[in-house]
Amino acid sequence: MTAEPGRPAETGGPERPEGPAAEGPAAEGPAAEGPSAEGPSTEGTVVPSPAWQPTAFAAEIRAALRYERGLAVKAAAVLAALAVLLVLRQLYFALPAAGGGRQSRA
Amino acid sequence: MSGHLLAVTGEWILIVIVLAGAIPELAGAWQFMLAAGHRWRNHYSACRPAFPRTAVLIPAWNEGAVLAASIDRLLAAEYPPESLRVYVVDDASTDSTPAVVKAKEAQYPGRVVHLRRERGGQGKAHTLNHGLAVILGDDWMEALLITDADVIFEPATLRTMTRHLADPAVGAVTSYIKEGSRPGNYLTRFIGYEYITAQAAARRGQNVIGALACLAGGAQLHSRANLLALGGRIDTTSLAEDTFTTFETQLRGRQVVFEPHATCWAEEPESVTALWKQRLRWARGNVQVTIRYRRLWFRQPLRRRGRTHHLGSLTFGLLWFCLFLQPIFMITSSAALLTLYFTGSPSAWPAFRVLWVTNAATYLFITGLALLIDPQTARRAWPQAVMFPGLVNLVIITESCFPRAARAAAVALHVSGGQAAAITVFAYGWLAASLVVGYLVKVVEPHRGGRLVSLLLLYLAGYGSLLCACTFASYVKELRGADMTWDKTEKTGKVALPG
Repeated sequence: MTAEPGRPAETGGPERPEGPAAEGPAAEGPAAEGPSAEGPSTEGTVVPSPAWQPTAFAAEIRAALRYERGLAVKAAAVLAALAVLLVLRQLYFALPAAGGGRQSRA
Repeated sequence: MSGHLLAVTGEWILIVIVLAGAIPELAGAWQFMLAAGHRWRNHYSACRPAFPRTAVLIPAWNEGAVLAASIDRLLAAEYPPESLRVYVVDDASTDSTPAVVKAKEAQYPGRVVHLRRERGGQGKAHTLNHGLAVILGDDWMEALLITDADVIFEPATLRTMTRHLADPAVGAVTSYIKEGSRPGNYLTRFIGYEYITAQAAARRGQNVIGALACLAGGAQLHSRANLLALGGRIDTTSLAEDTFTTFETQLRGRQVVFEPHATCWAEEPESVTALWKQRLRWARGNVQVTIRYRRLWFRQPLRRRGRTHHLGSLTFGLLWFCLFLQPIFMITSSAALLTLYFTGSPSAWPAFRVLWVTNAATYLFITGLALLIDPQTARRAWPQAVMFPGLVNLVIITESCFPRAARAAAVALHVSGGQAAAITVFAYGWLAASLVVGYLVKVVEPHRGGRLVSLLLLYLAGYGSLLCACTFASYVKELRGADMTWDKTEKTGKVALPG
């Protein structure tokens, strides 16, 4: 296991900026107007992100999606294993249907 | 003839009630299946790099032991420094909290703000509202992160959450809070495993449904527009302010997203007494939510602001009520089984087997997938995952799945007919009895030698039974109209990030 679940950043790897000036969110710039439907600077200001490269962002999203795809495969694998267990149990351990409330036990 | 018909009908009703005992487990398994569907239905396509000016709001009452580390970690986040401020609302603390925050103010000029309530103790929502009034007082804040004093954020967590706010349809985002107490004990490991099921799996499933039950109180990120739509205040009339905020956000037409890849760590109770206090508060909050939104359940989704919420969907309602009513399912299932048994019905044993074989299948599926969802937690907590239902449940599961082996064991042990009958009655009544044992786990702990007895009872009855007993206690408290005192969980600063 090279990467922990829920932590795609560690595989995608955000790049730290060189200095404080590079970290500016450009919140006052044109890009700060974002997609808000209710006026500027109220919801999720989108910036071109000089601090974290778009390629790193895309890599993180890809890593997250890869993890989610893997999760679906894991679920299918667990279901398949469970089905195999049930079939094996039916083949080797099943008893004929028992009858009779109190007398049927032990 | 009519008497016979009545008897047959009654027997079938009892069988249905017995089998209904498996519904909560099946619902749990269904939620895990939905989580797998997160591969197809997620919010990532709408994500963009976004760094809104974010105010972090930390309510703090006597949190001197944990605050400094939390503030340091927050301000070390991979986030533009000038776009991140921390506001600590000191709720009339009597410990070192004010000194700690003032020291951090000096260390991070302009980035840490100390707000003080001279009269505290009214609860978390009041404390949050004190901070909200200040933060909303000017236009600086574009997003608000509400967290707890003990929660430790990983460097990427905040920006991993804010990327969802690039979509204006999203009103709030929550993250995966993991149990972080180190070295921790058996109880924290149970909690760690529980959080895989209740967060990493369940909330993924809720993302798929399009309805989130709860923004984690320790990590909820709101857009400014969402807070303003909520009236700029957090509900103060319940013990589940975070759940109310979650519901109200969605009812007002904004989406709430769980981001499983944003991780933070929190200190969790190391004693059953502390855990019980915390969970009783949560469970009572759920009762209050269930009643407050009684006109919402199982209704057609409403369309607001061009968006449909699914809080009233059949799937979400079933998942909510299966968890909420699990103790009732357990009690009625046991009662029906015992009634079948004592009336000599031949259906008792087959019904019992179907119930427990179903439980076995859901247990294997949920445990297996949960451990695969979060291998990091699984490495620490796999024994607790295996023992989550408790030893007695596991024995009953084994016996139901392999009755021939159980019968051979009974013969080898020379079990008499009377003993066999007693074992049968015990097994049939166990679901209900486990609630009592779960309650005893909490009752015995504070007494002398009680810690060990409590531990043994916990492993016998299972952590799940402890939680169900707590849920049942919440019904009783709410029915009695008990005071809504805010029993804060004590934090001592034991959170450590994994190396």
